[in-house]
Amino acid sequence: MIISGVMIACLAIADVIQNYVFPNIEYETRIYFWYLTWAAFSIIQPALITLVHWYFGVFLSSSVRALFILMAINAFLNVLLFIDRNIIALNDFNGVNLNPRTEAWLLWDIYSVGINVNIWFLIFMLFSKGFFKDRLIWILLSYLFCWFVFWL
Amino acid sequence: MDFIIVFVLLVCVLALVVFSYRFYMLEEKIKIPQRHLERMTEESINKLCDVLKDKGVSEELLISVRESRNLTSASNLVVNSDVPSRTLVDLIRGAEELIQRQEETGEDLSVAISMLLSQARAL
Repeated sequence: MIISGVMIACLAIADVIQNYVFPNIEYETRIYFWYLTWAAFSIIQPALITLVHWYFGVFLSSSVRALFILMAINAFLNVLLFIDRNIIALNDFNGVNLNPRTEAWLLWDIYSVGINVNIWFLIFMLFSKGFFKDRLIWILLSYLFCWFVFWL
Repeated sequence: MDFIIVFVLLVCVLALVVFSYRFYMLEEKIKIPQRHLERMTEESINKLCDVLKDKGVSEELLISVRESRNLTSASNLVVNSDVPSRTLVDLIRGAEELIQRQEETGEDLSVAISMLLSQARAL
């Protein structure tokens, strides 16, 4: 319940930022802050969840561990995209990849799929009960299935 | 400036990875077990001890579990110096998970706690 509550709050704030803040910013500035913002969110969420667990004295569960791993992947993908679009292109190390129509490459696809997979998988993990809860092989298969579905 | 930002973010990512691997270390560092015990009610600790007693945990260990709640110091959970604090925390965690899962599913999930109990019996 703690994870769900914090994630819902963070997603609501992210939605406000995405729909009301970013559209009012000039394109290049938006691209600069876009990935930094989501990387920061990916780091702040686990920190907040840990803090709330501490406050209520609730032991950290395996779902929290999964959250740490998934948010680390999300943050890393956001950092890679930030580097690719603002510092140096990671495919040819020549300039930056700014134009989504002509300069998109594999990393962008991995990013698009990966971010969605991680969020949906996390939601799935939070609702898994009974037999499916905390069983590693089931978790792994579910994660691979999510990748397969989103990649299609 | 960009490089500093990237460096800080990568350090945070690394910290997340490390803490996901050394999960219980994070829990101990921020003293969640102590806080958990402080917030437990008399009813919940009695329920916990009943479960542990049913599973054959020794009376000495049960006393340690009851008395660990009364510790005012947040530094460690050792009441009886022969009982390692990590084992005590794992025992309490395992028993609570057992109670919660039994309430949710009706299934007997004592396999998770049997390993902890074998450690407790060996003490």
